[in-house]
Amino acid sequence: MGEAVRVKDLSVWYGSQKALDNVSITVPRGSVYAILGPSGCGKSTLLRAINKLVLLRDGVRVEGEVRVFGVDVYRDPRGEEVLARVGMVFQTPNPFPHLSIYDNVAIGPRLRGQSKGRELDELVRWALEKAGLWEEVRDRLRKPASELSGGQQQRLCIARALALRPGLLLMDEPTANLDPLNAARIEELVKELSREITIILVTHDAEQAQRLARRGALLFMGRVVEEGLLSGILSRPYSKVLQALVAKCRVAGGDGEATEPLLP
Amino acid sequence: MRLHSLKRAVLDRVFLAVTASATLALLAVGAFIVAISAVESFPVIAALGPALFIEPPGLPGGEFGGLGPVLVSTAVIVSLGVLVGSLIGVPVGILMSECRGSWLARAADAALQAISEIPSVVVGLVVFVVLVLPMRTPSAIAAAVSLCITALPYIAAQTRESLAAIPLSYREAAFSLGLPRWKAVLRLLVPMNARGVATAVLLGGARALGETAPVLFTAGAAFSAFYGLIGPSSTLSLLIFYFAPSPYENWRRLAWAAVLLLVALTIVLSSAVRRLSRGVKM
Ligand SMILES: Nc1ncnc2c1ncn2[C@@H]1O[C@H](COP(=O)(O)OP(=O)(O)O)[C@@H](O)[C@H]1O
Ligand SMILES: [Mg+2]
Repeated sequence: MGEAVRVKDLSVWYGSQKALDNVSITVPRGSVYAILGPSGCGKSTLLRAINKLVLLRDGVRVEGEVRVFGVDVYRDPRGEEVLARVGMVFQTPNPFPHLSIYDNVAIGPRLRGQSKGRELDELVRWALEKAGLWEEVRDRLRKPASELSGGQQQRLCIARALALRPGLLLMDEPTANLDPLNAARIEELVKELSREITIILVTHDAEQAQRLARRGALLFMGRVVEEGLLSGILSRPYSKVLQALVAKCRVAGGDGEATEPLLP
Repeated sequence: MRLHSLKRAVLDRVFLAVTASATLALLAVGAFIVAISAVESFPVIAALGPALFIEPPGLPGGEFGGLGPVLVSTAVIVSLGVLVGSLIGVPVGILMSECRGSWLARAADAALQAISEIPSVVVGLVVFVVLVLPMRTPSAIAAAVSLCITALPYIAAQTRESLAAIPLSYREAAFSLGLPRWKAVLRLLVPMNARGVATAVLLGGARALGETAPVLFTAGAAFSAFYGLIGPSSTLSLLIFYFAPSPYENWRRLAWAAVLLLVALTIVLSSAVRRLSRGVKM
């Protein structure tokens, strides 16, 4: 099958602060891959380093290699092409506030000149159906997206990403700001989508990770401390795993890195 | 301990008294300006009625006349100046926000800084040398160019600020769609920020409307008719400048009418700016 993403010796700095330190992970195709760790450990940074969104921030420096579907996205000119097939869903639902529900989904393919007219209508409908939102919005596609509830907005953002026909979907704690019911819907969705799309799911919820993913990585203070089957990483309760890491880090005197809040 | 807290209470009072009286003084100045303008101009405006907006000014010492031609040239000059100023200023603002740190953005920033720091009478003088002398006449065009230059830094800076204020999460959403950068900016972020751009343009308008110095040597002083783009012209602020100190009662009255119009227009523009920029909901 080959891998969807291979990150090798990746380091990211925000100014002088090192947020990722020599991170290497391998994400196989056609599955859900979980990135776990306490908040501030660099999960979001790692996700944004994969699709280069991290470069939007000031003073960022990236070193190392990120291959998406075999292409080195930081050096290969084909990188842009490959990244056009990478969708992203964020921690806080962020539909475009000036666009209608329809246009939020349509804008990507439209601006990329990939489809228009009837074909675009079909694509929007398909994406909204996939995201489990179609029935709720079919009568008000022209209404502003801001009228939707938080959970609906997040599903709209999923539809917006799906309309790009992505081969890879990056999800940064997509349920963190939702109530349990809406969170459960999104989890269902992730399960379903993972049959066709590779998904990298950032979460600090170990149970969610185990429900959705088989493989993953555990990050701690910018480093990968474990990678592989989640059954192995989480053979002990997650809180115990984190406590052990914190204790080890104290003994090592912080290991020279700036200390950040260690627990979620 | 007691003494300490007493001293503190006294200082607090003093602080309050000083800042409050300064604020009151400011309010008084503002109220005074508005009141004087209103008291001086309302009778004129009431006496003239619609003629104020149509008739040319009367002869020195004669009838009142009106501000018709001046209003036309003001509208033409200010709109033209702000239009061109926006065509340049908005893209420059976009560049300064989206290519922050690039040498081009830094150069633009330095240039705008310089322009906004030069006294506006110098801008007028430069345009006089570059345009009015070769054309052998002051003109609406030359005045528009002067006002365009004066308004430019405001338009660009406001555009830049409003774009920079777009929350990172929308920016990330826009850039997560696999679009080329220029497309993400021009087709998503700028429309998202349409109000910010409108605010920038209106701010430039308010700026241009209020300035006198840039048009002093460039517009001419043709108050009785609008002579087209390359003919001599005038603006409201210029009319005030020439008419207010004149020895003719009717001209002084007209100047006050112009004052009220100018103040009203400026207030309308600035409150539009404020409303727009407050209403940006993200
Ligand atoms: N824009 C930024 N500037 C400076 N430091 C940042 C920035 N974004 C994140 N960081 C720091 O980088 C580290 C990793 O952050 P992040 O990737 O957001 O962690 P997580 O997603 O695991 O909570 C944190 O210590 C955070 O404070
Ligand atoms: Mg995060």
